Amino acid sequence: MPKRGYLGDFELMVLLALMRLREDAYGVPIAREIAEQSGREAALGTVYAALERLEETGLVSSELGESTPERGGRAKRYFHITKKGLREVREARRALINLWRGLRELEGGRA
Amino acid sequence: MRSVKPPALATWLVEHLIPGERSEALAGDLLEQFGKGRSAAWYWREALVAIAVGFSKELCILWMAVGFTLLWISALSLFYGRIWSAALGEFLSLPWASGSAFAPQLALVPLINTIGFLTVVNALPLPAALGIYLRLTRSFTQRRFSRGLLVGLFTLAVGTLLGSLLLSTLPRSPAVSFELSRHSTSSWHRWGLAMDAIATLPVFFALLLSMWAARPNNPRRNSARVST
Repeated sequence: MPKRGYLGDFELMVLLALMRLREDAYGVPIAREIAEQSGREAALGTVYAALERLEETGLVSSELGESTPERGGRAKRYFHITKKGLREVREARRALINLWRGLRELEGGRA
Repeated sequence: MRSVKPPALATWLVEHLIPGERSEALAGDLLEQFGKGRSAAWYWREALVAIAVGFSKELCILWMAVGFTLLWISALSLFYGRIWSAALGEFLSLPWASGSAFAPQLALVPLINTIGFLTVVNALPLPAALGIYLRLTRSFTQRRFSRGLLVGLFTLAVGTLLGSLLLSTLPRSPAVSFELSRHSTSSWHRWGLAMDAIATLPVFFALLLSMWAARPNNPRRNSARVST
């Protein structure tokens, strides 16, 4: 049995979005960042589900923020990538670059 | 024309049907986006997707727990059932257990003794099963284990009490020759089957509920840190 699992595509996107947003990473900006950078809509429910999975495995931590009137008095939940999460992202990047390297099909932009 | 107020039912569903801690933040996010011009249709779609995603995870955990419980109970009836029956037969043959819960007329002290005995015997494999399940799902913590065990033991005690009361309504069995007589006639065979079912069901539900209480995404498990 492997010691740890691989990050899924969407989980990796969420972690990268957290790194890009830094201090302003809560549900709405995370979903928007993923949509803008990937060109695919990300439902808030799936973003939160991924964040919960990542938090359970210790790759992400969260804290409650301020509650505002436009949110009906409900608090925001801010997410941060942990050191373990950062290590996983670096590892995923290294593995993907190694796998992409030397693939003729991907060079020159032709399928 | 776009409605000014967000769909109240969708908000209520998000806050009450989504398990875990994310429901409040998610409801807030939906309201924030609605205030910035998103449509009611978008609001409903997001709410339903969030609920579906939450439920799919809960169902996955529940089915894992059900599968593990069934396997455990099957193994238990193979290897533990004979010991259980023999122990029960021995117990019922003791003088202080005579006229026990299995008699039509309930006697309080033997009933309590019987329930206590059955609960203790059935509780023996519970910590092992819960521990193995939590280890297999890589979610073992002392707190989850203790919570699950408490829920399991409570369920087992209540289940055994109900089972014993139910058994007391069945025809009286000869306690001393319990093991020998249960397969001798069809009525004793039925009594034996009922006995097995009543003995097994509390263990099944106790184990299932203990796993459910110890599950990784139990909403009451995590404590939230509030930033100032």
